[in-house]
Order: sequence, then structure tokens, then C-alpha cells
Amino acid sequence: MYSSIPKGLTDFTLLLEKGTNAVMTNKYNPFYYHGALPQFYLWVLYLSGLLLFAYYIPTIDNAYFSENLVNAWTSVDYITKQIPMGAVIRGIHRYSGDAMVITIILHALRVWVTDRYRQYRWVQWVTGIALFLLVLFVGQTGYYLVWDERSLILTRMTVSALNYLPLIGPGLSAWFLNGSAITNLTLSNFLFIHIGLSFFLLFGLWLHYVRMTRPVMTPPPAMNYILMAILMLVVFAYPISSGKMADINGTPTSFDIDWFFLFPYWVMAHVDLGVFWFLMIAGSVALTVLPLPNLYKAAAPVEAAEVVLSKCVGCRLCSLDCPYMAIDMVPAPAGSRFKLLAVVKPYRCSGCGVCVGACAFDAIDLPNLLDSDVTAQIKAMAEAK
Amino acid sequence: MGNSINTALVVVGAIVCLICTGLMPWAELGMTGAFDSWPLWLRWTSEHTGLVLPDYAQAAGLATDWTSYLKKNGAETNLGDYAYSLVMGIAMIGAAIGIAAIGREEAEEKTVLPVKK
Repeated sequence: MYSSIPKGLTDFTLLLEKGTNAVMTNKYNPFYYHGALPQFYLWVLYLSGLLLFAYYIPTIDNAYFSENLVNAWTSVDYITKQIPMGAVIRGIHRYSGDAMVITIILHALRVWVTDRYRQYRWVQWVTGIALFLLVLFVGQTGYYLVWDERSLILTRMTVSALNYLPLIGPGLSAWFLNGSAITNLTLSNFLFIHIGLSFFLLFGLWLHYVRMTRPVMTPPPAMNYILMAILMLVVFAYPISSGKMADINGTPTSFDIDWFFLFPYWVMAHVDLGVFWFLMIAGSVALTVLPLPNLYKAAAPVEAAEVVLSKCVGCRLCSLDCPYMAIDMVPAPAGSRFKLLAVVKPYRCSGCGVCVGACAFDAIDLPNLLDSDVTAQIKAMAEAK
Repeated sequence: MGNSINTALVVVGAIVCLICTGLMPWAELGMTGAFDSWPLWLRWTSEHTGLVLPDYAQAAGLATDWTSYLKKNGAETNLGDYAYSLVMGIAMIGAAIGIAAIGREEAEEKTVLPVKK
């Protein structure tokens, strides 16, 4: 039942893809860069974030200066109003975060409907879900940094949610606030979390890519222009502004919500904290275990490629061509005329047959689809015509 | 056929680039183009060397709608920055269409059937 859902959507996606190809050619078809799109926005976030970081002051009061009020809110205000292009850079930073969430969701949906998330690809799926959750958290910490009334509400809501957790709650809450109450150290911690975890994303991306030989990480230039241009237009259409400066003695009760990052807070505001945590944890676990084998029934079980030991010359072509790093080159046994020998890792093999096409010596084959059978079938089809 | 289209695209692209280059200082000056809005060093250069700065007086009223729209949406200052981002966004879409159109011939999939042994 479950496995029929993505299968049905696959045909629709392929049709859509074909139509897009007719207009944009396969080189500029965004469907082929769905994984690279969030990464493009990540680079934009790093660059714009670096510019904002240069002027940002992570305090809630005059921690560094004795005159005038200088804090996180006033520094953001200064960036927005005084620094040339500051408001635009801030807008780009904010909206590229939103764009990253949108493109990650589209990427995951596409991977799901085209059935490319399970078996030998489970590592990519699981790391992808972890990365998505991390992106959401990093984005939320960005909202705390502005230190307007919304930041204060979000901080308080997070603390109450963390405190609700048994055993680990108070510890997490103290880590989050960098103490027992909101102080200047809290803002420093938010900045540390925001930037530190952003760079941790790179490690997550490495895990995400580690089993792929040739991941597409960069969209072509024309697409980069379009992506950047859309950001610019959104920055113009919806200028960013801060709310009122946070006053820790005040109790603001409502704020404008950014649905891409702050939807958990909406949930938190509408249900009991126990239900909130159940929904968040259950939702995350459900997404993570989606590739579990007993949730689907494979139409055609994968049979890993097999190396014909007597024919392998250790040329590496199959290993280089394999998209999933499923073929290792190991030293050939003693007595062999050749130095290396190809060895297939069955748990990584997708049975795609790329290695069979790469081998010039008939030294690798798919057990359930022999090269000789395929050639015979093609010949028969050609003769029938 | 392909070459003439490419030439036309290059010409159109060059004109768009020139327009955007002209619009950049206009937007940066807060969309008024008043002499007093130019950076101090440029004003000094203009007064002492006879360098003629572009006159945007004709274009001063162009962005009235943009200004009121941006103010309504909470953009308090540096409205020229927003206008510049809008112009750049449109220019980038033009550039993307140009790049994609010129690269279209190379982008067509060329299927080569492998012949084994």
C-alpha cells in the first residue's frame, strides 16, 4: 500500500521533467539540480552572514560601551539603516534561509516520489533528515539574534519547552540560556550556536555525499543567476524590519510568524507541551525510518554485480564509474598477472549496470541480467525490425 | 540562424548592462540624483576637475511608487538599496535567459550509444 504512493507519483514527476526538458533543455532543468539548490543557498547564507557578523553585537544591554544603548537590537538596526546595502544583505540572509528550507523540502519530496531514498541510499536519506532538522534549528537561532520582542517570546517558549523534558530538560535549558536566566551571555551563546552549527552543516553534508561518486553540488551559472535574482526581487517586495526592542521585564504576547522556520512555535502555542514534544519527536522519527525495508515491497530486488575473477585486469574503470562507491580495488591475490582486483560491496550496489558498461573485459556482470542476454535481446529486437 | 540570435542577445545584454550601470548610482543616491547626495570625494572631484556627474534629475520621480510601497512595508531608510536590488534582480534574470539561450545548442542531449568490443 505505502510503496504504491511514491510509485504513482514517479510517473507524474517524469512527465513533468520531460515537459521541462522540452523548454529548458536537460542542462537547465531544475529537476536535475534539486540537491544542489539548497547548497547554493547555503553558500549565500555563509557569505551574507559573514557581512552581518562584522557589525553584529551579541548583547542585550551595554556590555561593551558605556554611552548610548548598544545591543543586539541596535546593532541590527544599525546594519539595516546605516550600513550601505545593509538592509538588502539582511534581507538576502533571511530569505535565502527560507529558500533553503523550501528547496530542501522539494529535494526530499522528489527523492521520495522517484523512490531514490532507500536500500543503498538510506545513508543519504537519514543524514538528509538530520541536516533538515539542523537547518531548522540554526534558522530559529537566527530569529533570537535580532533581539526584538519576537526573539524574547521565542526564547521564553524554547526555555519552557526544554524545561518540560524530564531529566535532560533543566540541563538543556541552562545550556540554551548559557546560565539560569537571560543575560548578555545568552546572546553570545545564541550567536555561537547559530554560527557553530552552521559550519557543522558542512560535516553533515560530507556524510550526505560520502557514498556518492559524483554528487551534483553546483547548479549551472544561468540557474545561479535566476536563484539570486528571485532573492533580490523578494527582498524588494518584502523588506525586512525588526520588531520593537526586547525588554526582559516586559511580556509581549504575539509576533509575526515565519512559517518556514517557526512553525514548531505555532504548534507549541496551540497544544500542550507533552503533545508538542510527542509530535516533534514522532514526526522526526517517522521521517527518519521511512527507508526501513519492511515499509515497502521492492518490485525488483537488487542483485549486486559480480566480478569474474579470471577476467578482471584491475583497470579501475568500473570503480571509477560506479555512482555509489560500491566497487573497491584491492590488491590482486598472489600469482595474478595484475596488481589490482575489483571487489563489489553488495550493500552499496544498486544493480544499475554502469560497471558492466564500463568494463572492456567482460569481467563484471549482473547475475539477474547478464550482459550476453542483454546483447542477444537487442540483436533480436533489431532483427525483428 | 543560431549565430544571429546569439549576436542579438549579446547586443540586448550589453544595453541591459549599460542601463543597470546607470541605474546603480541613481538607486544608491536615494533615487533623487541630487548633486548633494553624491559621495563627498566625487563632489570634490567634480568641483575641482570639471568631471561631469550624470544628471538624474529627469529620473527623480521615477520611483515614487516604489518609495511609497517600501515605506508602507516597513523599509525605513536606504530605499535606494532596495531599488538597486530590484534592478539587479531583473538584470540577473535577463542574464540567465541570455546564458541559457546561448548555451542551448550545447545543452541538447547528445546520446552516443556505446559499442562494446
